[in-house]
Amino acid sequence: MTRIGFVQLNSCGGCLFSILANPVFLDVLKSAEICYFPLVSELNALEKADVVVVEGCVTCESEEKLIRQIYTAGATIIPLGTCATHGGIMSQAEHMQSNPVGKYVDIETRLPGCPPPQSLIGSLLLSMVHGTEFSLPKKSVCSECAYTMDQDFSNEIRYINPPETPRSCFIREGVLCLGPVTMGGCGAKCVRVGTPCDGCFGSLERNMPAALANLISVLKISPELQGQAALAGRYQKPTLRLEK
Amino acid sequence: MDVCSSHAIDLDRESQTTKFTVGGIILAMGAELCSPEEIGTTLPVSYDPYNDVISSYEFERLCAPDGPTKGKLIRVSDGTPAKSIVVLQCISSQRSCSGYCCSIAQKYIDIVNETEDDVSISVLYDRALMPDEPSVTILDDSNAHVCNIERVRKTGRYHIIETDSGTYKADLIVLNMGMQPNKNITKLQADIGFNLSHDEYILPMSLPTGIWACGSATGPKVYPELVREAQLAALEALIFLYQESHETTETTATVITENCGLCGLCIEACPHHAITLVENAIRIDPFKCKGCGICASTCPTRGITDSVIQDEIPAALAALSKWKKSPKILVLSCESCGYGAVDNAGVRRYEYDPGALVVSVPCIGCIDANLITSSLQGGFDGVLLVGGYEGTCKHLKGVQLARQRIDSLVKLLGNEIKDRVRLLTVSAMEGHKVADQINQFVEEIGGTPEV
Repeated sequence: MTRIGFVQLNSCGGCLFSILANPVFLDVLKSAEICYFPLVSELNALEKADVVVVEGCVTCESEEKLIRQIYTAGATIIPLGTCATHGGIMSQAEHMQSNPVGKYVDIETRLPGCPPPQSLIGSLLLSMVHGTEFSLPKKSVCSECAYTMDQDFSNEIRYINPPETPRSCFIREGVLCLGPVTMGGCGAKCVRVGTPCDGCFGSLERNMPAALANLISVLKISPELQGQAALAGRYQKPTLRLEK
Repeated sequence: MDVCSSHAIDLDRESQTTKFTVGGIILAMGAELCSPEEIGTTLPVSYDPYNDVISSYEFERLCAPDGPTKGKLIRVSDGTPAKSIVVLQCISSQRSCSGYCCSIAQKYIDIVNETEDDVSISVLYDRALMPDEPSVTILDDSNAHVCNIERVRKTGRYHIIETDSGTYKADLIVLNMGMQPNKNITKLQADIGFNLSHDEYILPMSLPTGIWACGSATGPKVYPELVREAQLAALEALIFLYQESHETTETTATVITENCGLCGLCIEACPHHAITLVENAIRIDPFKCKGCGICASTCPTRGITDSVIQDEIPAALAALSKWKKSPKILVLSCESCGYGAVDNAGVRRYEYDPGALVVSVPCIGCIDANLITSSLQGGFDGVLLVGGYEGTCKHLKGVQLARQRIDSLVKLLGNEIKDRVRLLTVSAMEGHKVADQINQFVEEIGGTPEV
């Protein structure tokens, strides 16, 4: 029986709540042993865990120490959510470190998202408990978008926030949307409700600053928007050395 | 109208636009002669026929036996015979050699010497007007002189041309006009999509498959070369049209459908308009594709493979990153201008630091930001991209794209890479620039510990 620990570092807790809300979690309760989950229980046997799901980013030495400890103890670490995989929304804080878990230890499986969609959380939990295969989407948000095949990149990008709900592809309407370079899997939810993709999943296999540089070089960004922080993405501190 | 037996003359016909479907297009619209009115005022002596400063076209008419003067060389102002003629060379709106004016000057010398006994002719090359690198050997004749024209003044009947190598007296000055690109080129460029060379003629390498250019549309040339080029273009077109099937020799990109996110970035990025959306799938036209790899590097989901981009370059980088040398600089040069310049540095024996490892890539636009960051992480201390001048790129926007990528990468990553990534634009003959830049780069980066 797999023993699972759920660790929360600096985060809002949304990803762990998503796990609680996932129907597969009932299966986890039946077929696996949860040994550490301070958010909902008093269980306190992290050292016994085979698999540790980590939510949140690393901001101080004690957290870094904790991550290294879990890793040396031999447990598999699975970062859950964009804070754990990329540093997350806290990267926007200027005078604070917000490092992804992968900066300190080797990571094999990870699941980004703010929060990750229930379908992916479900298949991650199943893979943890039953050893089924879990893989991240290979396509970008555009492939899941309602406005697929409606793109037009020849227009100038003039807005970060859409002035009104668009009736076609954001980029066609001159709104910066990070959909093309962002990993899919979310079903382009944000776009469906009228918000451009802000890249919470991070980029596909390449690192986000590089992917953004590639995107920005092809798009025609208006002079007023040049140099705006939003162009750098919200969920990752731009850094060269990203993961171990 | 009445005499034409086949009634081919229709006086009421109006101009109309007709559409043709053709298998190939040869652009041979030629160049234009420079206009003496436009550039004649920027010269040491202004174009003014009534002051006996005429252009070579007018002089041709004076020389012509069937011309207005029946071949008599006269002064335009008063109709008296011209006795001392000075031909000013290299009169062009551009500082590039037109190639044919020297032989025309030779013709004038011959005409004057053969037909007139008491007329003197001098051909003057003003160093201020001469192109830096003439494409032909300039006239070697006792009447031809290279000089610096200092002053031109008028005394009575004569223009006195004062130069550093003597004073010339002229009662007729001929401005030997060069050529300039056809004014319709920009319109064609918008319709077809090609690039212009540094002197704004068509760059034949950048033309899409099925379209050729020949003659002075691609730059100034002398007559035999024009004929040769026209024959070549006609042959190429014929071979192209007579084949039952076409094979592409370029490494072309292919779409991996299961990775394709259908974002359409590649459509926008492709400089050759080779990528289209057909029935909800990205399709690459292999005959328009020139194998630059820009699409493969732009694709955020690795949905396009290009064997060079995906396998060869990373393999080369992996091999080079094991090499222990400090500081170690990765020089990525495009295979046209960039590698030409690096090669030129070798041929001319310019010394550059051995820590620079040169990799040739199809186009520097195929270097995506990720390749730069990963090679910096992989042990290289600096990355130098060497490409052609913007506007001369055979993949149209390769250099521009590389510049934008580096700019945005530097903006995003800031100080971490600011001094470690550079872009150098050169022509294939500028090996010294590459060597200088590499040495300067190594010097500046040297001693910087690995980040």
